[in-house]
Amino acid sequence: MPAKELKEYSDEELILDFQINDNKKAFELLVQRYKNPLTNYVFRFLGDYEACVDVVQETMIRVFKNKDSYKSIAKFSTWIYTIAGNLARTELQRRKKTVFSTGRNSEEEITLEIPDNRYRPDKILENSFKEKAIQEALLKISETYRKMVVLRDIQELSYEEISEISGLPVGTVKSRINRGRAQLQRLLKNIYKE
Amino acid sequence: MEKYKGDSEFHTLNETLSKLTKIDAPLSFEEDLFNKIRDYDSVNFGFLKKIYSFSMISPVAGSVVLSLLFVIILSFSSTNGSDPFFTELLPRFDTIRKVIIDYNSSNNSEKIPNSITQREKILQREKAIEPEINKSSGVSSVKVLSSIQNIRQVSDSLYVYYSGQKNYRIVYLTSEEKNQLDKVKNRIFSQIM
Repeated sequence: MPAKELKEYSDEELILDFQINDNKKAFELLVQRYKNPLTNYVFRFLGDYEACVDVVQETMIRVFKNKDSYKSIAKFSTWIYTIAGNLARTELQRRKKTVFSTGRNSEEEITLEIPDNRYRPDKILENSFKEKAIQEALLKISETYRKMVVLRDIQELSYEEISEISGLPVGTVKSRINRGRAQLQRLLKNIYKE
Repeated sequence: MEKYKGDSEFHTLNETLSKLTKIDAPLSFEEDLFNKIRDYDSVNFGFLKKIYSFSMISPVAGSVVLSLLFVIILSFSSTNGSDPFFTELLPRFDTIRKVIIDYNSSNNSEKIPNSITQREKILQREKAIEPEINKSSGVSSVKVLSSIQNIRQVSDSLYVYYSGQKNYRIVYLTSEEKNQLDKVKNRIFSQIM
C-alpha cells in the first residue's frame, strides 16, 4: 500500500507530525487549511480586516510556539478556533478601552468610544449594501451571541464543536445562538422587507 | 450540518448568513507569517543555538571550559569566604594579665624555679607588683597567686601560672617578650581597626 501523502493527512495527523517530528511542512499545510476560515470568522467578529489578519497570524504563531500543548483528545479545529476566538475577544476589549479625553477639566471629562470605521466593504464586499448591513448588525449584537452565531451560521460548525470551543454545554450554546439570531433578525427586519 | 428546531425557526436568516461573502486571508499571509516566525526564532533561540552548536563542534573544549570555570569559582569562593572553622581565633587581651618578672637580672643562676625557695621568690615579686597589675589590666580584684604549686616553667625565662578556677592562664613575661607581645598586639589591632 503506498504511503499517504502529507496533504492527505487529517488535521490531527498533521499536528502530531509537527509535534513529534518537528515537520514544518505539516505546519504549513495546517496554515493553508485554516488561514481562510479563521480570517472569515475573526473578520465577522471584529469587523476590521487589518486587525483580523493580525489576530489570525498571531493564532498561527501561537500554534507554532505551543504545538506541544495540543492534546490529541480534542479536535484540532476546536483548538485553533478557541485560540483565535480568545485573541479576537482580547482585541475587541483592547479597542473598547481606546478612549480619549475632551481636554476640559476633570469633572466634565467625557470618555467616548472611538467608532471603528475601518471596515473596508469597497475592497472586500464589493459595496454590497446588504452585506454591509448584515456585518454592521452582527457588530451590534452582544459579543457572546455574535461569536456563537458566526461559528454556527457563517462558519457552519456543529453545536458540539461550538460547545467545545466555548466550553459551554450544548443546550446553553443552542439557546445563546437562538437569542443571537433573534437580535440579528430584529436589526435586519428592513432588509427582509425588501 | 445537523438541524434542530431553532435552525428552522430562523431559516431565512441562516440562509442569508451562510451565503455571505467569505473573507479570505491576504495573498501575502503566509510570507508575513513565516517572516514573523523566523524573527521569533532568531530572537529567542539565536544565542542558545550558538552555544549548542559550539558544544557540538567541540565537546571536549566545551567540557574543559566548563570545568575550568567550576574550579575558578570554587577557588574564588574558598579564599573569600569566612569559614568559622578555619578562622584563626584572635587573642583575648582582656583575659591575659602580664607580669614582668626579670629573673635574669635577679638571679641568673636560678633560671628554673624548681625549688620551693625559688617559687616563693616569685610569689614575693608578684605581690610586690600587684598594684601595677591592677593598673594595667583594669581588673578590680586581682587574685594574687595563692599556691606556688601552680607555677610551671615553659621556657628559660617564662613561667606560667595555671589557675584551676578560671578558664584562662596567667603568663609571666620578660621585658623582651613583653615588647614582642606589644608589637604583635599593635599589629593585630592595626589590622582590625
